[in-house]
Amino acid sequence: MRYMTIRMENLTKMIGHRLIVNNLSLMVEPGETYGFLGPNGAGKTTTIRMMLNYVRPTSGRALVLGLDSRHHDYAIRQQVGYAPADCSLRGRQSGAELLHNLAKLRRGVDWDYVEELAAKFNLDLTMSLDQLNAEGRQKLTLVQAFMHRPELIILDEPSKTLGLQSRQVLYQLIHNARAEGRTTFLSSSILAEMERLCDRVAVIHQGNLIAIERGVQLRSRAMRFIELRFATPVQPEAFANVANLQNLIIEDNILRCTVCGDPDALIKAASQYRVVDFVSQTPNLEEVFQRYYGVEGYVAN
Amino acid sequence: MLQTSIFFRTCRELLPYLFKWGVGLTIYAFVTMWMTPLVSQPAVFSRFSKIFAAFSSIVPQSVPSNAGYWIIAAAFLFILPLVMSISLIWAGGSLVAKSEENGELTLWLAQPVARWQIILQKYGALLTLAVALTALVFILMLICNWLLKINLSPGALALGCLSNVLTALTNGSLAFLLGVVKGRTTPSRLIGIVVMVLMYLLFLFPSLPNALRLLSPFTINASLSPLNPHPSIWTLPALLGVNVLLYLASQIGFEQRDLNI
Repeated sequence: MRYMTIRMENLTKMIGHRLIVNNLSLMVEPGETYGFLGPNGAGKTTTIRMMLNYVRPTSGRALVLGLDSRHHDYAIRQQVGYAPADCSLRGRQSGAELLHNLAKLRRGVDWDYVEELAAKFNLDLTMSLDQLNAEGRQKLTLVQAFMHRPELIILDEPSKTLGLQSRQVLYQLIHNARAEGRTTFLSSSILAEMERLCDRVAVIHQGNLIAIERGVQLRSRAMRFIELRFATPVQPEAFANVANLQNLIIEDNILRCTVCGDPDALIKAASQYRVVDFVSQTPNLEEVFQRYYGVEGYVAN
Repeated sequence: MLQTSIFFRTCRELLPYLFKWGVGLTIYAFVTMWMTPLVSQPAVFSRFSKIFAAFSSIVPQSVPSNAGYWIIAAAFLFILPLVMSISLIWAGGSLVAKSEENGELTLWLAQPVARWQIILQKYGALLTLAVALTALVFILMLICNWLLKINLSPGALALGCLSNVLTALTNGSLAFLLGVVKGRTTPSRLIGIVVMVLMYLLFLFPSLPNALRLLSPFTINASLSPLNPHPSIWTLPALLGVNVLLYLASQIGFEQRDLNI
């Protein structure tokens, strides 16, 4: 059997009669940045927790770094950095104290690197957990996930509460890890993040794996709602033959449309007029899921 | 390899508990010492005859002959196990549950530390609190014994303290188990307190069948009163055994649990 950093084999989790994760099988190659995309409640967090033995699978198994998560979680966690989602850290201890305690459990880490990470995230380690806002707490969990330079980094919705600047720092850390040949498993409900960072993306909905996409494929199919305001009224004919356009509506000097993939042709067509405003919005995940995967009521396998 | 950082960190967290309950117990001891000469006056002492009769019916083998004896016996049988139980339930119910509620447990389990080690270290911290409270109670009782000239042997007082702490620890261990299994502080403490009150009531009603009363750790504790001339030593292993069982149940419960679904 070929070595995979993560290998899930028919992983299933039921809570009572509720199916949370259904027969999930996927493989993550060493050095890959692998995305795990799905809306809230899709089963992403439960899957990750099964990989780290927080939650026991009802059936199937997860091999992480070649080890069965149920029986070798201790050895797995030595080489894994995990940043949980919505970690509601509270308490009077400071961020530095918390990280020191966690470092002790790892029998020491390079503290200079911890401080470097904190500085990159602009995180004040002297503040108590109670004083930190949601973003600060998320930064703290990210620092502890990266602080021991793990072989495998598992990030569960890491950028949900992060500001723009901190997101860039996180993306840079993920890029660095990839350059060093380390693997990242990134769970998110933000499509743009997946398009930008991941080599491959597993798409999950209601506990079912519905697709595994290459990052390039995602980028080529990226969908945006675009609104252009021009200085003067525009002719509909000018945009009639533009590739990748859907739902084109032109009212006087306003153009609204949906672009699938590359917006280059639209921009070139618009350049013959004076553009006074440009708004681009990515659709929410449910819209993408409906459009690409027809997920309403969809059951894989 | 055993990690100790969680143990020391939890002990630090328990210091305020130790301080608060320590202050409470010290005040109680001094009030006891202040009351004893008052109760010792024949006119007052005779007014308590009904209470003494009730006392003797609950714990037949301990017959208080004077006010000092009565107060010490009441402390060991009725007050200290109750106060120490409440303190250990309060601490025990929160030890693991609070770490889960404040998100710390999630991060601990992201590090290479086994679940059994977390429970061992947390329970170790609870034991340390229990030992510290016992040491304090023993010193206070020695002082009472000496100032009130009751002349009980330090050995008898130590046995009473040991029995008291094991009784309290039984209640604390139950709250600890609930905290481990439920992961919520308030329900664990509340259920712990309710069970303790039921056990205390079992002990207080001598009319109940003996087999039923013996289910209560407070009844078992009564047989080790420092005023009992023939303490039954089997009660110590019995109390110890219950605590070991509750600890093992906590380990198994935590090992089997799904965390943070």
